[in-house]
Amino acid sequence: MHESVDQHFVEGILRNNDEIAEHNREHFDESGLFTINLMSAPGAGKTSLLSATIPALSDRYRSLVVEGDMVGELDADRLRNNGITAHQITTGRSCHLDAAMVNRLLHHVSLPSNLDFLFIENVGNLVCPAEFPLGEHKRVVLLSVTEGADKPLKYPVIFRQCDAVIFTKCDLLPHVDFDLAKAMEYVHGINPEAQIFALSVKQSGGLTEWLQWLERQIAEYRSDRMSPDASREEHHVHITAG
Amino acid sequence: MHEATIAQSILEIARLRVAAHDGARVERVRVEIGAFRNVDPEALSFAFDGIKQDYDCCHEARLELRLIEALAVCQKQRHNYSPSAEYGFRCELCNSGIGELLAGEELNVVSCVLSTPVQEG
Ligand SMILES: Nc1nc2c(ncn2[C@@H]2O[C@H](COP(=O)(O)OP(=O)(O)OP(=O)(O)O)[C@@H](O)[C@H]2O)c(=O)[nH]1
Ligand SMILES: [Mg+2]
Ligand SMILES: [Zn+2]
Repeated sequence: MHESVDQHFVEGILRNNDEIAEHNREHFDESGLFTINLMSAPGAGKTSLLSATIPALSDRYRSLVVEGDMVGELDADRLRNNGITAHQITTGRSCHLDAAMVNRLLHHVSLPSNLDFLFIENVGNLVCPAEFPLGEHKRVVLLSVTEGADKPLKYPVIFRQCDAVIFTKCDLLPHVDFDLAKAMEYVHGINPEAQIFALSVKQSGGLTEWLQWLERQIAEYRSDRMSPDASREEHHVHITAG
Repeated sequence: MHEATIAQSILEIARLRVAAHDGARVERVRVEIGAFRNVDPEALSFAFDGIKQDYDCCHEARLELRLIEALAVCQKQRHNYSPSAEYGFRCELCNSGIGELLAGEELNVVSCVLSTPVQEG
């Protein structure tokens, strides 16, 4: 004889990832390492943006990159060839980084203590990375103008959760029918607070506003850390499960 | 493609629940998925059925999904509305964007139905 017992409870399915992400966040905060998770579809220009951004910051800030790719070390090598320190995480069959992968790296690599920025380049994918916070302080989504202005409407989750959106490859605007105003409107419908940048790594001065934003963000992060009653709550990783 | 990971986590949660009851098996697992989560119900069900054999006491478990529509408060005037791609996720009354999501970000296991042996006599 068997009887059915119905147990009711609410358990977040990805709670495990979220807890490890919080643990990663503690690591970052211990060393004051301001961490940014860069996400986009394959080839939107994440590695190119880092190759241009990090040297432009290097007179005042030290940066480190963690590269997530399904196979190989191509992107990490590209950055190393530009004199940038990069660690590779090879995800194998997984189409996104998760907090545990970043955690393993944090426990295996001894991070220099004088770092300012950690840029994590996620696997090229507009879907899965949105579900797996890594412990980052800010999330940035790149959308290249060759992909089409409607992408925020098709992938609303990742655009909802990010702090900034960068429209990349804007040097190509004359050659594609990407409606910049429409794209901005779509992003702001989903996420009115998102900062938006439109830039190209091929044009000199194209990065100015983005670089200024990064400097403002790290300054805010540091002043929050300094103030004694800075509430931990406010800086918790994004956890959506009720 | 992360649905396999999600299926694993669901079965892990069910296995822990059933472990507390001697001789019990999992009949059903109920899961709620919000519209603002990147989870494809069909891919999830497929992944779940594909791997449940690997989980003790879950071999016959059925996955029941409840899809939850998004409900938003608009940013400018705090109207309640259902954001949809058709309107650019904006409020139909005042055209402002999503201020908060009241519903739609759920990704939870909400119940497990266990079949437990009854002691006779
Ligand atoms: N014209 C133009 N091309 C660019 C720009 N930024 C990147 N690209 C080109 O776009 C291609 C992809 O750039 P990557 O930086 O490798 O893109 P990614 O997002 O790192 O790619 P994955 O890591 O494979 O997802 C390369 O051929 C770049 O040269 C830009 O601002 N303008
Ligand atoms: Mg890359
Ligand atoms: Zn409104």
